Amino acid sequence: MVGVVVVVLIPLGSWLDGSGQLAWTMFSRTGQYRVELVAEGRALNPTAVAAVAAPGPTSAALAGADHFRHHDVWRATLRRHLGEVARLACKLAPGARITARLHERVRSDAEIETSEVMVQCDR
Amino acid sequence: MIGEPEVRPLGAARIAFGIVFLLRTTPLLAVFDPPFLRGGNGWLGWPDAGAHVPVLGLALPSAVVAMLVVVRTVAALGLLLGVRTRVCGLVAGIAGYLVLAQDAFGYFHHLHMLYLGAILFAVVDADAALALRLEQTRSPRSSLVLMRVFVASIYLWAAIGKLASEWGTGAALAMFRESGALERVASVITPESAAAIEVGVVAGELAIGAGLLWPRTRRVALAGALALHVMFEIVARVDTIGWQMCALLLVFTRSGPPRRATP
Repeated sequence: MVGVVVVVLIPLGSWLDGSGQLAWTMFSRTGQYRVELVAEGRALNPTAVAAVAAPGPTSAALAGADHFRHHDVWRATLRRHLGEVARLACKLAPGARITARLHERVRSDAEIETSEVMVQCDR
Repeated sequence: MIGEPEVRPLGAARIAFGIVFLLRTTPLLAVFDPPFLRGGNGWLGWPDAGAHVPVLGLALPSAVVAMLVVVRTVAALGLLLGVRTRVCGLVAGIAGYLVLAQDAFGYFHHLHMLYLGAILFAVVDADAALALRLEQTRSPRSSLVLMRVFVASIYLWAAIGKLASEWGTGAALAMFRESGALERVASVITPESAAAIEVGVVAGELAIGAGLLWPRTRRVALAGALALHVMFEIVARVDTIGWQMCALLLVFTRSGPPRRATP
């Protein structure tokens, strides 16, 4: 039973949820991401949010993300947690309505896919 | 302390895996400044003043996270030494996952492997050989089979992942090269060679995964697996994945015959 769960079900489930993060997909996928943050029409630099979030992995993922960065695991993580990233940006713009966009591409010359979330920050 | 010969491979793998666990999650190697210990105090997941994105909203108080790091370390030591191995393996794995969940961006495959591996060593007869506190075997044969299939499956899933992506076209290695991750061998990865290298890596992983499962091909597959990890270490130095896999590969070493029951 344990074997079936560990060897088959966990990796398969991870494939089905689209991330493959628990399916030993080490280096099987490549990709780039860029984060765009806008607070009431004013652009916020993800590196500034990274500075507020520092230290730690979240900060490392956001630093320099105003340009395309290579990191497939962080790309997939950002897609799932874009709302939380937008909420982190609230520290720089309390009370503002923040739009967070994630731009992804599998290679430099590939089509860019964009996902977007909006959050209302507390004052 | 030597214990049951039949599960000696599990004991050996447990010890090696426990060592890698401690090296990866504590500052023991800090003096050598390995890349994976940079950017923190060396205690993996130790609470800091930064903002984090917890998985499933599972944000724990800093004091609890610090306690979990300590508990994880003590449990990993117990796993390594073979003292209350089953409890220690479970605790090390679960505490590890809880600490890992404090920041979604801290997730990497090798950490999942580390914590899942610890839990697996807790549920098999890894405490019946090469342990300070030896326990009776419960199901030595299925224990060995479980760990061996688990290790082989990692290679097979890794190959499946690559087959389902752009691997084989040359695009993946070109992208890794562009990112600077393959700096040491950048000159070897040309547009002409990239696709062939990718096909070779995927074929190698498939062959290793399948070869490990059959006794006749196991020795060759083991040699191939070790060569693959040495190559990855030289080419890309991928955290501790290679170290963990080499530790886990010890489950494929030859086990002795089961002890005769004493009348």
